Amino acid sequence: MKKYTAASAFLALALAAGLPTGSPLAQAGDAASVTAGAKMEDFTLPRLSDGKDVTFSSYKGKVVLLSFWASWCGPCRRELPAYNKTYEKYKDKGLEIVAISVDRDAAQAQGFIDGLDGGVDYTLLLDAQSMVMGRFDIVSMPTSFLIGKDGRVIHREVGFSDEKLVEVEAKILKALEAK
Amino acid sequence: MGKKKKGSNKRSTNGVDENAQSAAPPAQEPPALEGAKNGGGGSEDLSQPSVIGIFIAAAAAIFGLWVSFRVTMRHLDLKYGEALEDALCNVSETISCDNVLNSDYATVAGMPVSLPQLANFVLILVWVLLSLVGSRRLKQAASSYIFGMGLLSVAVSAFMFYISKSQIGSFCPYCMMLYGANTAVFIGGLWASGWAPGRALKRLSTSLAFVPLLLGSAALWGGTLAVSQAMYDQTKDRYIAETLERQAKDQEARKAELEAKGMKFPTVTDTDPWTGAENPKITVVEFADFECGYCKRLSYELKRVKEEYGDSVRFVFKNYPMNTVCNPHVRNNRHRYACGAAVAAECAHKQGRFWDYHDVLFKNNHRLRPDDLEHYAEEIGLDMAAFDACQKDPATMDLIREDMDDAKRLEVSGTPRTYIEGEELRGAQPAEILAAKLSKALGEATARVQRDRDALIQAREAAKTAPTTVAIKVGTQSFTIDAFEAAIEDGKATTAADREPAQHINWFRAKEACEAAGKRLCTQAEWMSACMDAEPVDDDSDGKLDDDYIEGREYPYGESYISGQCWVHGDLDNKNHNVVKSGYFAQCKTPSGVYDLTGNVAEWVGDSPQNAVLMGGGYSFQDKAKCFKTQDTYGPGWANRYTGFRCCQ
Repeated sequence: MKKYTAASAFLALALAAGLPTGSPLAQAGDAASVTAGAKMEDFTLPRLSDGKDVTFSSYKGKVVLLSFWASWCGPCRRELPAYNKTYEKYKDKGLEIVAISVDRDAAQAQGFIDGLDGGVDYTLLLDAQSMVMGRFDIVSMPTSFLIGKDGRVIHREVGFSDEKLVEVEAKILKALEAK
Repeated sequence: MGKKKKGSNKRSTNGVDENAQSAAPPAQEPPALEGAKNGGGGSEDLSQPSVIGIFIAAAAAIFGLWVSFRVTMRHLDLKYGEALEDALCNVSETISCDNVLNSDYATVAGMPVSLPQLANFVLILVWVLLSLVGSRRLKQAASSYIFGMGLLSVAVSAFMFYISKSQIGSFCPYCMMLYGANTAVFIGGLWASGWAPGRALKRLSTSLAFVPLLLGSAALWGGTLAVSQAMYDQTKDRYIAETLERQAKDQEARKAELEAKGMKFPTVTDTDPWTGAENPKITVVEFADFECGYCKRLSYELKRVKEEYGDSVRFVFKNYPMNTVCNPHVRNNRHRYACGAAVAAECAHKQGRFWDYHDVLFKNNHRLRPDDLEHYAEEIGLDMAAFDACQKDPATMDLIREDMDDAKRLEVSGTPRTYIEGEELRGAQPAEILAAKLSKALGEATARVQRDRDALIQAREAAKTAPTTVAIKVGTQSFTIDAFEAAIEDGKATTAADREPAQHINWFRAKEACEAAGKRLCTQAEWMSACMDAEPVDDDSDGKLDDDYIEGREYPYGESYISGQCWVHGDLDNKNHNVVKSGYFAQCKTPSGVYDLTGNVAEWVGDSPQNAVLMGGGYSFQDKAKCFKTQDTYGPGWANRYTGFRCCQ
């Protein structure tokens, strides 16, 4: 993980210097509440580890569990490793997990990941300006969205608990089996 | 005189009968009783009642009458009066007529049980008179009624004794005197019949056929009861009026005393058990101990009141166990199981069953040992594993400690203590007193609500014509701020009352809309200056303004939080709520005329993405929506239903 620290630091510096990471106004839009049935809009965010851009549309046709988290969020400390197990279980069936940190400081987000037992194998992105998060009417951390193969939101989950994960996994399985 | 009558037994020839004869009027040919005539064997019982027995019954009835009167007055005093200490009445926890008179068993259909007893003794005295001066037949019948009443009263006394022992756990000295009087009446009646229970019973059964006496006795008993009930009610009303007057005087002094000490009335928290109105006009707070007899009495009185006022009043329960084991603010351990009961009740509350458990505990408050508490929990169907774990959890005692500390702050020294709209009441106040207080408080609350509503409507109207921008000059800050949260029309920020502010706005969009309107976003310092009416100072020079000494007001309308002043509901995930039109919460404004700075939508400030923060808190906040409330955890792209803005220039 350490090899990514330099890239993260660069990204943090870039943010601190006010360098644009895209066109904020173009990405802002009217952030209506994203609920089940809503069509996902595309977005591009840098990977937390190396700052390389990842475009959401690259997951087209896949079931995606999109999660927003932050280093200061208590339940996120349990959610991210739990999602790793979910990812291990279903990745071969086509599940992708994309976890977006909304920390303003990339180093803090990376430090949080480094502190997790077992690390995280799925995709971690950074939304330091909360531009993407701002589209989802998110009111608390963590908040996750399950997106189907058709690019529509299947489920919105606020908070995290083992019970909730059981329900989410059932929905994942159903989405993976859907054509 | 002394002539032996047909059918009299051996005992009737002894000295007892002699005495009876000596006191009786001259013998006449007795009219044979119907029953005796027709009864088995054809023998007639024509013996005269023993005068000694009759006098014993008379003495017992006079004594019983006095005791019944005393018990009734004590009952009145306890429930509606001052309930001054009565040494004869309360010897110990076990020997206490207050405990018994405060119990469920002290009344029948709202009538103190001492009243029927009083009517009994009046009747006995009349029978005594008839036994002495009536016709032979009347004498026999009246004396047999005395015996019958004695027998019945002894049976009732035995039952009441059993109830005192098994259900109340206390014995009432006055009641014991009544049991004694009843027993003496029975003995007197038996003596009068010549110590022959069989013959007395037989004579009683015959006498019951003496219709005029039977009906007359029933009428007298009913009449006495009705008159004594009427007198009781009259005295009760007088006591209530006197108590209300006395309490009103005491309250003024107590209120002034508490205010002088800077004390506020009980702190009600989300964790306190409550019942009644969801949106109360007034709140009643009760400090109680489950082992306290007066608290038990109060719980019954409150229950009656709750039925009538539950729609507009909320009743909150707070624990104040009177035992040093858990309560450092008391000095004695009179209530040995009170701490355990309080903990158990909290645990029932955790399972949403507080009031069921509360009722069971008070009903059985003479049996609150740990195994009893478990049994009651099982009885009402609690999850026993969770109940046991909760009892061991130190956090449960922490909740009780909060109650006890609050009570200490209010100088509560005993239980029960009830607070109604700032008025402090001691002891087991009767439902009538509580209802009078609530009616008065509700009347005042309704009038206050109406006044507030009128003021709010006026303020809303005033907001519609209020200036839409306000010039602020505070310290080094000099700027103009929009009076209302911004809406966006044709991409431009607008400010006006009676219009929904824009939501789902990120900093970039807010900045763009202000600039399109020829304005700019406020800086954090400007925004705080407008809200606090004082320029914020970065005391610790860390570049933040929300972690320093507070220079001005905490809230736009004043120094302390007032519920309902601004639009805040305190529930982050409540999707049933939304923003309100600007100026709708018209009292949420600064003296200079800036509306809705706290609550409704949180407002973006800052002149660059790096110092973009949200100020004031959105409508999901409650008292934390303050002039210095700053949200900086997310970046400037953050937008949701709670985010909006206003412009400066």
